Amino acid sequence: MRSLVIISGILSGILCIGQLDLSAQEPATVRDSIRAARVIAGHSEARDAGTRVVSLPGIRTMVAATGEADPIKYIQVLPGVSTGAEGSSAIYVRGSNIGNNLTTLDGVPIYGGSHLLGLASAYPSAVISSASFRNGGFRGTENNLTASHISLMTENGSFSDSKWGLSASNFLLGATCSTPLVKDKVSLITSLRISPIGPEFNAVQGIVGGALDSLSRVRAFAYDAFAKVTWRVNRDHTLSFSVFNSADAYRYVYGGDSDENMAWSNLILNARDRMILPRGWQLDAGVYYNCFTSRQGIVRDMSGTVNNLAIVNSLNELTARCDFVKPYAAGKEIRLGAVLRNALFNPGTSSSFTGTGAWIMLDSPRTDNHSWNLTQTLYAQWNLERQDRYELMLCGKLNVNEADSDDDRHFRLHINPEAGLLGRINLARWLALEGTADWAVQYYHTLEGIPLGWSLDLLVPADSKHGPEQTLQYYGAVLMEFGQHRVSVGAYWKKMYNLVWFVDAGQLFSPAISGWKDNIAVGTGTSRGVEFLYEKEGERLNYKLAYTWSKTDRSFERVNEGRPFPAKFDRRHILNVQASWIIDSGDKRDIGVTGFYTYQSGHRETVPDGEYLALLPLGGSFSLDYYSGGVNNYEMPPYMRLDLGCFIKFKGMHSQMLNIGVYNVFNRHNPFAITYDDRSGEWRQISLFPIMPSISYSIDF
Amino acid sequence: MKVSPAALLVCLFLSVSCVETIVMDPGTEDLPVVVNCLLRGSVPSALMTVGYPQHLDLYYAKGKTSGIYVPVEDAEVYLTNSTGEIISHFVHSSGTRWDTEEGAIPILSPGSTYTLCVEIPGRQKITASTTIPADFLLAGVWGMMCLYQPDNSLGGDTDISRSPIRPHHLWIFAHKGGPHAEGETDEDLYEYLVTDNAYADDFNIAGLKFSDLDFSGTPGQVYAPYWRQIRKRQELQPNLPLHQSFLRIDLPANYVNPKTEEEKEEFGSNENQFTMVCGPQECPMEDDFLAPSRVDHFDVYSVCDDYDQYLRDVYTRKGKIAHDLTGLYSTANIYSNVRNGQGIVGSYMIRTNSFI
Repeated sequence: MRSLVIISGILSGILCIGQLDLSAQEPATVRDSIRAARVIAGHSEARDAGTRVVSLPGIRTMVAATGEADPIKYIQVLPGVSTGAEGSSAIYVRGSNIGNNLTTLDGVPIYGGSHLLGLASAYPSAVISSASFRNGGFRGTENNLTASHISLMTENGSFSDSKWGLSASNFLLGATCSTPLVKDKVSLITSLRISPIGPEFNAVQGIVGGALDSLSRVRAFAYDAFAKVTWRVNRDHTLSFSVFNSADAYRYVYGGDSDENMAWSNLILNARDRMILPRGWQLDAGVYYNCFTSRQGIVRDMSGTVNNLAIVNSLNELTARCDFVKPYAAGKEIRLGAVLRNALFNPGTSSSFTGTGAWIMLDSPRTDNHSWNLTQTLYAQWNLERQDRYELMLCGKLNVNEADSDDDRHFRLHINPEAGLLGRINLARWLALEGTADWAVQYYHTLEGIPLGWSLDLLVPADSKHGPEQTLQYYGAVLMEFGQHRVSVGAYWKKMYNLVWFVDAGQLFSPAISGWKDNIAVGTGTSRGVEFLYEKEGERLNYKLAYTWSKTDRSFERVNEGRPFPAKFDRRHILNVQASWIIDSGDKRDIGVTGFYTYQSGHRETVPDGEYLALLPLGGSFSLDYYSGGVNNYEMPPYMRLDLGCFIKFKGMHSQMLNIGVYNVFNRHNPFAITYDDRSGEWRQISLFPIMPSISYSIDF
Repeated sequence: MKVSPAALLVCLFLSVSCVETIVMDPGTEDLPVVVNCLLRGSVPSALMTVGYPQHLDLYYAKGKTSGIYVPVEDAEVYLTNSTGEIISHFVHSSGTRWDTEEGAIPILSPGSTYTLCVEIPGRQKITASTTIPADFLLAGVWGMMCLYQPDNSLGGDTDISRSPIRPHHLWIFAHKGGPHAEGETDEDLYEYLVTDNAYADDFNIAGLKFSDLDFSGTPGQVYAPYWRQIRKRQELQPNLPLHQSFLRIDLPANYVNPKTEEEKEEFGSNENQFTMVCGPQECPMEDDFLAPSRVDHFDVYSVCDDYDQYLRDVYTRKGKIAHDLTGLYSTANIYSNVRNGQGIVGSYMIRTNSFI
């Protein structure tokens, strides 16, 4: 019995221990060439007008299912942000799609930015020096997005001495190294993380048995690797070269007859040059190559017919950019820049049907749907700030996009201007007004209307027939500060154009269509909402309450008989409450407790309204589902979760942090996915995380 | 082996998935009235036109979790011709069923259009129109069929002429031991049909071929020619696909079914002729074939455009749900020609022929 307890303890240690981080950590900094108006928030966050800076130390006290919180988990609790399925990294900002957000790593987009089916980020937090989130007032350097920008900047390697780190969490084992290659001249930082989730799951299944019987033959593989060389050419000139690679592959058999698999990968090569030019100009130029691929497939035997379906995606980008900055007076600066982006898309589906069952469907093999897209962007941005009084940002862009064309009837060239406006004025010490206005353009779409149960998004390019997505957004807020208390009340209105929708999800794998371009409807979306945020900052007690009321719909002429319908993640109410309290603070240690509660209206699904009987010539009974035309007509049960935790911070020469928590204290079965069981003819809801422990430990030296 | 409670607690924490059955029911508001009506066309001849009593089902669609269909009992239901004249009323019979008034059998002429009207208090008027398909005659022997268009101007109701053939949407079912009867189930039908008709729709093909059916054995004397014909056909065209449960043939006007020289020599040179074989069959050993209940039959339906489209949709949906995962993804309604309602109003002509 004793040995069993030890084994269980080791197992729980392996599976439940969070981040064991032995590397040195630099404090989080915001990289900006101008000091904008800020809301300094102590240990919580500092906030630019229109921007939320993610406090990296702050997220460590968050309780997460995987034991390791990340910037995305932090952003998911901000007002105006709706989350996707349970535990995933999906965010839907102010009614937009997941594909309308841009996550960048040193300025390079990451299209598949998560591990483990969305439970953890694909980029190693150990190499991240800063993270910020912006959902309005987009700058000139922010292109090809219409909802938000999550900017992640990486550390430079150490130029003086070598540092290393080891990390272990529920699902990732990692190592980091930061060392000078040439002292004070050339540095290297590198990171490697690998997931032992496959062997872990099999071990757990061997112990738990029946509870996990629905999943078998689980094979899982996930890793990410990062390396960056920085060369200080001289005091005013720095070159850097970085490589980022991540891959995830999962395969499992569900229910005994459904073999499901999904995989995605990123490869980024980034060269960057920063220098200070004469007359005070600063140059930031770079070239990067970005390759993203994804695949999701199902092989299922249905009454003797083996269905083999797949959705496949690839995107290759080669981009060159240069940005010039010139501060020309106190609180004033001008920015000019240019971007040249060449992208090659290849989205598609495939299907094959074999076996001796009846109703043999025609196969639809994977076809080559290559489509290229060339975008040239010029921008000018003007920043004006008077400290503690006001801030103003004006940005104008001009995009020229040339897209592939299947025929000569549609014009290949799109010329699209963009504009961004941000304004903030402090009316009094305790009162400020803030507003943003954006006209933004994006040259790829995330295809909506994908069938139920298919999780990976299909990225399709804007082309001659399906123009670029465009968004017009207005936001205004009142900010109040009373000592340690801050309140902001804001509202937004957003209109989206050229959204794409796959009209008949049942035809996605049909040989009757020649690729994703068939059966596509182009339409619009509207979103409006009110965002409320209350924060209290104190030395020991901090809490925050964020509430969003929003309404988001879509409208396509060929869908739902042309009537508007709710967007899939149109969550009417989102309430997030966070608190942390340092119970005891001393010279040697701080002890505190944290809590997080979230309540979100359920997301939307399309389900039949009713049924009726078919009229067959020989009689007999067969029920037909009836759809009233209400796409996304059903609201899933609300999502609700309470996490509680405590932390101990040990001070001293080597600071340590121990976090112990419980994720989902109510043990609520929040829906993660819906799948159809064809044997019983029932829909099944899969809930991923019941009540779970969360433990993390870190030490700095 | 004793298990530590602590270990169990840890293991309980580690269980990571929960699957629950859910019923997604958005409610029952605004569910439509369903009208299911299949009008049988009258059969004209030189002496008299034979009409048939008509019936339909009228009820409210139900929610996914509701148990029963609520019938419509209070309504005015009638049939009008192309000039708007009411030619027949329907009366509520029982449950969801409505029948034409007793003693007032409507004559529904092939080629004519009729409109069914349903007026329910508090609801918009429900209407649907259908055009009765053209009449046709079947002639066949030993599983080989010909479709003829009757030309009654020549006189004689059995006169098979070679007048121009109009287009037909044919739906063919094969019954074991006698023509179609009330209460028949799928077990009374042959599982597979195969044909060499060039216009057969492949949407319901199974993963099998003609050569996969077994026609071995020595049949009784009377059946021998029939069995021999089938074997010969199987030899000549072993790769013809098997169709599941029925055949749908979209016959154009004046269709021609091309034949090879070998087929012409073996089976005759009639280029309207096409073969239909069903299976699996047991080798017929007995010669007692004259009892109609023992003789297998083909039911050949010629249906109107609307019902043909509806039926194809229904069988596609039915087959897909059982065998094709993508069938679950479609959220489109089955075709309906009912205005302000759901269901189908169609029409048909039917001919029955034995295999031999």
